Amino acid sequence: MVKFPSQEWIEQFKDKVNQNAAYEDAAKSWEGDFIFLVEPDGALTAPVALYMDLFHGKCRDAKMLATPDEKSAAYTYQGPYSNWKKLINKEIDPIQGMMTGKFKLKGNMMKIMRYTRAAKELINTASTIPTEFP
Amino acid sequence: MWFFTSPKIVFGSGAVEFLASLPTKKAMIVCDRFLAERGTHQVVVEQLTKAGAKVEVFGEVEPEPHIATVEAGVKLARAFEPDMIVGLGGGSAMDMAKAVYALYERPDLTIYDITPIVELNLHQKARLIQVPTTSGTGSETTWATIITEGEGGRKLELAHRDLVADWAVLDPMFPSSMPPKLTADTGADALAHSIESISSEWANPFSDAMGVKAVDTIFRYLPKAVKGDHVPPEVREELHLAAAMAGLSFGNAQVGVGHALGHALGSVFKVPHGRTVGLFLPYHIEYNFSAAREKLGRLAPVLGDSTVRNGRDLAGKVRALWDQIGMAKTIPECAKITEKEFEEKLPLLVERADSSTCVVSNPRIPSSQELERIFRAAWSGAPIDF
Ligand SMILES: NC(=O)c1ccc[n+]([C@@H]2O[C@H](COP(=O)([O-])OP(=O)(O)OC[C@H]3O[C@@H](n4cnc5c(N)ncnc54)[C@H](O)[C@@H]3O)[C@@H](O)[C@H]2O)c1
Ligand SMILES: [Fe+2]
Repeated sequence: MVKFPSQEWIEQFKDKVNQNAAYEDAAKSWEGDFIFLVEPDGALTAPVALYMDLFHGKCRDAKMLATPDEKSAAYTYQGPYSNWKKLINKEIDPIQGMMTGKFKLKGNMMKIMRYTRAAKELINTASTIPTEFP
Repeated sequence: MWFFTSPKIVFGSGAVEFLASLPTKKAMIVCDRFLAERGTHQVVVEQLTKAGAKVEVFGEVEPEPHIATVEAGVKLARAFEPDMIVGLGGGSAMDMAKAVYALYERPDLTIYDITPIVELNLHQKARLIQVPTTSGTGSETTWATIITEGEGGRKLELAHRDLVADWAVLDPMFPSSMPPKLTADTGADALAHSIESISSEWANPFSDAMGVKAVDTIFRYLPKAVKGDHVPPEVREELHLAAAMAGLSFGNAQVGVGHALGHALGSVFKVPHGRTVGLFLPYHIEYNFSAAREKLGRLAPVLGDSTVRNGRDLAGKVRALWDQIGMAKTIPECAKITEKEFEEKLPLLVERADSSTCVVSNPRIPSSQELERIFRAAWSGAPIDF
């Protein structure tokens, strides 16, 4: 089991993404990095930012940032810790989550709306990590 | 957590007269070019005038409308400053009314900002009213607006809850002038909305209730509306309400891969929307059945237990209806194109279907290769067996 959010978790996520042929197919023309911002609530007392550089169906780089403003990215997907837990456990659909205000997305909408399948595959991948929530 | 969003609805014979009771200063009618030429909008103008409104008509909407028409409509709206925008026509005019409405309310936005995941805060300057003249798209009850990027361009699948009309006016007088082919195409669209939304991952008890009722009505009445020399008004009314219910079904649960494929084919080969999504509906069912067996089983009280037990039979039931009303079941019947043209455009078709937001809640997430196989099956008429 790996703890979420952590450096170890994001590294596992990177490995799993790079092994996922369905994600690779859906995101084959995707170029753009992400910050996944986990906002504090419950057991999490300070915000945590996880960075991923996603390019042409692969993850080129992934790390936990020292502070949320260490780096900027094309997109930021953010929500409270308890919602991240539900997302990874597949209790929230990633797209419905945004429409109900459980998550927010910042970045160029026109581009990302063409990659909803990739987004779904990405979250499906996250769900395969044996995750422990403190 | 999820929502069920619906406009207020006024329906039945004489429903259009309701417009006279809405206090309005300036009303802008966004209307289909053909209907404007025929003078169909006059009955709406008359009611709005009774309400004391000054009326401006934007009668420029073409079928499957383009961004350029949105821009022209927005220009007029900004100059006229209406407190009511009325969409009058088929899906094309109603979608145009939504897009014009959004950009009139929010001059700081571009059309690409109309996505469900941003705050729009509309309904500040004007009310949005939809008056459908076809019985199909359900745009009068949905949050979606489909705008084509330009000649041969992609269909933008834009949506936002704030685009749901304040009122939908369902008067059977309007669809009664539809010729049989238009009745068939638009009725097929409504059936595709219902069945695709029932099979959707986002289906919920409210959307199912609307979808199942719509399926029942469409199977009962669509053949009568297409075949008869004189279509009884009650048949028109039933189908008009069913289309709006199908809209409430998919507007709250999404469509699926059938619409993704239909939008791709329609945009590349310029085929009317209803004809393309009707074509793909049986393929949608066959492809998804294994993953949506339980959901589609909700159609048992309407279509019979044995029909919904396997995908082939359910798709067969739809194909039998298509035979009755003359709908295409393969791409060559649907789009007048050669096999060479099809093969040349296949990569583009797959790319467009692949980037459609309609796949997001589909029971199976199709790979590019699977999308290509479905297109090929729809070309030859082969069943989906993967
Ligand atoms: N917003 C949504 O939820 C939604 C859903 C499905 C489809 N759509 C979109 O709607 C459009 C298709 O709409 P549609 O199928 O209603 O057709 P349409 O609005 O394009 O109209 C097709 C033709 O029928 C004519 N027409 C309309 N009403 C008539 C009547 N009563 N009598 C005679 N002729 C009439 C029109 O003048 C036009 O020439 C497409 O652009 C499609 O993408 C939107
Ligand atoms: Fe449709």
